[in-house]
Amino acid sequence: MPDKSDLPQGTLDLLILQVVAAGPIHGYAIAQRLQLISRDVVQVPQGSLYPALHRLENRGLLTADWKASDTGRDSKFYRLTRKGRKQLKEEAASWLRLTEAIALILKAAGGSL
Amino acid sequence: MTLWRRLLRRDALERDLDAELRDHIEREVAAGVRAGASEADVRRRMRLTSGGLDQVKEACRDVHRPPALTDVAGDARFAWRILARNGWATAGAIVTLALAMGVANTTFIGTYADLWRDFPFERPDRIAIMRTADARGREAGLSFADYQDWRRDARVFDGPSAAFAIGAISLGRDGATPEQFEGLYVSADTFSVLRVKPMLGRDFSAADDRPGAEAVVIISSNIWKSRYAASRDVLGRKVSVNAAVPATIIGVMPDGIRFIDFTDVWLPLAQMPGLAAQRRDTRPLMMIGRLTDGATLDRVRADLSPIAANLAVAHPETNKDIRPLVNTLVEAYNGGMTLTNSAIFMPLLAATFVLLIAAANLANLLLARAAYRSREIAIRLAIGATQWRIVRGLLIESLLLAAIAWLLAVGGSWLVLTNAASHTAPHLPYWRIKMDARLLGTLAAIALVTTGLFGLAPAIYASRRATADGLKEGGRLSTPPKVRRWTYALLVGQFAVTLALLNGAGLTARRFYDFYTLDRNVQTSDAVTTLVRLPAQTYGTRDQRIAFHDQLKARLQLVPGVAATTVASAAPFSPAGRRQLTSIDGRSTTDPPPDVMTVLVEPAYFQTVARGLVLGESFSELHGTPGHEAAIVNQRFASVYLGPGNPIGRRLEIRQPTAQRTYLREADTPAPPVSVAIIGVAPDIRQVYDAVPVVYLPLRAEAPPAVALIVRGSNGLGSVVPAVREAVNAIDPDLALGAVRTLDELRDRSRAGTAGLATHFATIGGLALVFSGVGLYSAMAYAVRRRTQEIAVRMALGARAAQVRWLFLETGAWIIVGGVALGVPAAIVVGRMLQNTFVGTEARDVVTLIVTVALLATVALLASIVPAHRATRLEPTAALRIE
Repeated sequence: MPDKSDLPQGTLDLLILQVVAAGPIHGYAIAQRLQLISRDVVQVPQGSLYPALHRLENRGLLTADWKASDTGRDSKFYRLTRKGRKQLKEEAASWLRLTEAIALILKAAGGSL
Repeated sequence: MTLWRRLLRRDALERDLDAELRDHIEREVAAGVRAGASEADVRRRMRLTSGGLDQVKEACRDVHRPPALTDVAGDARFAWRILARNGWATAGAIVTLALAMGVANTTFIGTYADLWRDFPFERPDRIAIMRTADARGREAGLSFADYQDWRRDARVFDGPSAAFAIGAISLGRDGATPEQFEGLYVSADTFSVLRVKPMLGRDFSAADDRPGAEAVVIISSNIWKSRYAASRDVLGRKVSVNAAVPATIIGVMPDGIRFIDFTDVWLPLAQMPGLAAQRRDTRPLMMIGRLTDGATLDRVRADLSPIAANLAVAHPETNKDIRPLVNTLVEAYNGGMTLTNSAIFMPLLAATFVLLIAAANLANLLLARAAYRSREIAIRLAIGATQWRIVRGLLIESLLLAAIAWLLAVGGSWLVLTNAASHTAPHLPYWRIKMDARLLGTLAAIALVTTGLFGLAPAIYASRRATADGLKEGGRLSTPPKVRRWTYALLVGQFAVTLALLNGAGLTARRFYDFYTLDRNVQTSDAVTTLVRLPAQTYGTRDQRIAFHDQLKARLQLVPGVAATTVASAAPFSPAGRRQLTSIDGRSTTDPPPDVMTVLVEPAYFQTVARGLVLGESFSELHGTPGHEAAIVNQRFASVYLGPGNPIGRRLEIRQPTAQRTYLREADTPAPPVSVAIIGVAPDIRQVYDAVPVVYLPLRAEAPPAVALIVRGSNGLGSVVPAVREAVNAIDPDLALGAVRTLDELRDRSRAGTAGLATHFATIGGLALVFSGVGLYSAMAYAVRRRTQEIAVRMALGARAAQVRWLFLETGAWIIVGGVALGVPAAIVVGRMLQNTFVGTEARDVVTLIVTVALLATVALLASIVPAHRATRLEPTAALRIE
């Protein structure tokens, strides 16, 4: 089962930002969505998820409110800030550029794999 | 988010975090149960994948902690654990530092209070106070005529200038017993220059300060409370001033306003007896004025100098070479002392040196410990700590020590100073302990910088030692020679400074001892003295005054419990007048003639205050009448002016000085020049600082209006004081006595400054000696421990105990030789500074120096012989096994 250590450095932040971009969402749902969309490849344990969320909140990329939720308890819902949206755009673009470049190199090198 | 708010918000964050994580867990459990698993299973699986809740929380908390702070906090916690583990060593270091810092703090805070008095006036640094000085630099006040010229012509002041003169003022005939107070005659503008207003009633007006105006009085809140029971209808109350002048109370000053020192009664300057008629060479006044914005004292000097120069031309016989002396009020109160004055910086310097000695001890302790801890440090370096991290950790350790010590020191200083203040404050005007942020900040900076600097070197040294080296040597105690040299250099420095300080302590102690032996000439026990001032209005002639004193004496001798009574122009331990000694045995003295202290006494004076004369006989009742001129001199006078040989029968010619230089008291009555024959030699009875030449003349010849009454009780003083008051008021119900003081009190107060300095130096010298001794001892003990293996090998190979002992004694000997070589010149420098600070100490007091060196050498010897001796008693096999 791949975990956080298999995600390249910094990608967890990017993934979280992307998920939160869809609208206010709490920590558990973020983990669920990541797992669902990645077809169980990305499973983020609490010990990685929450420090990452708090770090993003501290950097002002996310903001959070406590709101009533379906369970009847209050949950902490995260939203993107303007700064977070900008950061997501930049990082997503650079990530795509990088993966494309890596894919090109892997293809060009051919055979030896 | 600021750091501070982040710290404050910690509780909120903690609650938040807990709720958020629990929410997550509940959701996951619910999802698991929905999928068909049991709740217990889901929870167990979660623990396996995510680790415990606490780990997750800790990981989140790390995000919120500022990284630098966590490190420093961690270092501080670590430092605290290290310090706590070495309990005794830490306590020793803290006590040493706290004592040294306590001495430094006490000295600095006390000096601060001395230098910057707490004036109740607005901007006291902008108030200039003016007096005069003559060609020989002798200071005096200002004459009334000069004051009027200065005031008219000066352009430099903001608003009017004012003048005042000190005089005792008594109040009576107002329903209470007559009392004498410290009084001040002030010109009408004095209080507006000071910018103070009465809290009740009104200030003096220009009309009050005209000759012939009705007398009006302003009183302090002190006597408003004590004499008039704080009654509001005190305004308009009629009183009799100086048992002669009827006056009306028009104002009460607020609490704390007792300008100039401890004044309780103010009268207009015009009410000062005989002021308008005084010559220009009678100078009882001081002048004050407020500086305009931006004006300096030099501007005032530049403004007043031409005025004084014009007066010198117009009145050469009185004003030749008289120049203005200008200070701020602040300077006037601290005697113009600044930090550059040796009396001020000597104690500060000495206290700082003790702090340095203590810090050097700390440095040696840390050096030894750094060697001790080389293994721990090597391990920390090996697992990735940076050198800076190690240095910072060690530095935090020494700063932590310093901070704890500093807090103890400030608390201790506070206690000592409040205790001291209860003795000092009543004698020093506006003296208050101030511990403001600026002072405390300076003290903390001195303390922390000193300890920090001394802690830094060992820290850097410890962190530099090669990793492999430290690990290889393991726990073995070793110190490279370079460090040992530092240790020994610090010890030599300590001993040198200690020698200088101890020598200073010796000199001041000796000086105090001189006072002590000298003052045994005076029988101070069971004696009281008070000032009797006979008003000129009712006791205008000498015969009236003599009659009063004869009558008083007759009454007092009948009082049970009174053993003896006498009057003199000045009591022992109080300032006396001076006269010019113009010739000895017909030969003129120097030109200008020397001023010698003169005390007018009755025949019984020497029997009452001392144990009679040393030589010859006292005055008789006849002396002082025409044709019976005679004098008694003290021993100091005989040795200074008469040389060896019998002083009895020698003739002196004594003249009242032409210029009245006094400003602290009303002018004495002028006395004609007299030629007198010496009939007796008195023991040295101290008047002010020291045994100076004194000439005693018969009181009967002049009978000055103000005299000191000295009464000795036969057993205790309990009933004497009321009896004296009763006797005085039985003769004259209007007459007020001054404050009644015992001779013990006068004596103690007159040498309080010397006693204070002697105590200070003794404390400092003693601490320095102890610290140096302890420093050497611990360095030696450490060296013995370090070389245990070597000693064991030597002894196993047959070294004798004396040889082993010498190994260590030799080092001790070199340290003491080095310390003395550097310390003796330092001691002479300190001695010279002390000589400038107070008269009568010898810069090169060889006896004191030898005693000091011997004391120091003994301590150093003991400090090194004990560990050395311990080395010789090592059991070779046991010593080898220690490794």
